[in-house]
Amino acid sequence: MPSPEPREVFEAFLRAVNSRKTAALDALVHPDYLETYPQSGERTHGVENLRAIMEHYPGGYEDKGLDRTVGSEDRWVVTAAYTLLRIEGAGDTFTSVQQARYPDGSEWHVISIGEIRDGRVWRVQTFFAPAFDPPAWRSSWVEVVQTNE
Amino acid sequence: MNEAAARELIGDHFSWGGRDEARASRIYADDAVLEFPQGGERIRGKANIQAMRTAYPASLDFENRQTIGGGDVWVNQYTIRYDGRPSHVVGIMEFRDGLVVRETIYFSDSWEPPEWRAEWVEPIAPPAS
Repeated sequence: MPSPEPREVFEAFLRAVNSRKTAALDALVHPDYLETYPQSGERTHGVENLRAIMEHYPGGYEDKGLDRTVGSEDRWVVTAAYTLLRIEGAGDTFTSVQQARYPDGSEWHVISIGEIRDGRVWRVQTFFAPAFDPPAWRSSWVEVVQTNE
Repeated sequence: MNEAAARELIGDHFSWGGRDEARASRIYADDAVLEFPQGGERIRGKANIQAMRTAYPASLDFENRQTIGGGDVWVNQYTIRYDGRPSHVVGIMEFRDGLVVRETIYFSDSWEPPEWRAEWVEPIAPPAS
């Protein structure tokens, strides 16, 4: 059986996390998995800790799975709470951008830099970036667009 | 895109950013597009990118923490200090013919680790506090 492409592994990992399919993680996560949240200085080591965090997430996820998949080229995938906007990269390193809507109505961009090793997700660095109003000082050089739709 | 060439261009960009925006903008193609998706903002063209950065209303200090990637996609993770206040930044650079044609930049602040997951995570020193 041919090994899956690294991009496919990373996308499958993101889908599994988003839809809280913890059973799918074993086949996708490297034994030496390490995820880092640089903003808070948190590091999660190994699939068991990742699974525990997913299972104890306060309030749970909106666990409705994937609503639809549109277009293999840009890999647009819509979930109840997360929308995967893009995956860019080459080789073993890919960066995903997701849009997250939290129950309080706030909107965030979630950026994950993933490194694939031995056909599994080995390193992930994740950043949470809130929506903001475009600053006035740069408005003369900027067009305001919906870059996420 | 050769890795050494990408890293050299990116290193030069960050070493001049905040000091000499003309020099720092050499990395961009003339028709480069810069996006700040958090504000839904798009800036078209190297000239506008350079003008915008030259007008920046705060002193900037860059600290490039990691450049990672392959092929024509390189991702920079860095800290910007606006008048000393740190922000974590992730910028995705997409190259064509050796120059950046699209860059997407995200900004994020530090936050306290939540207690509920403390037993499953290891603390590391926050890099930008």
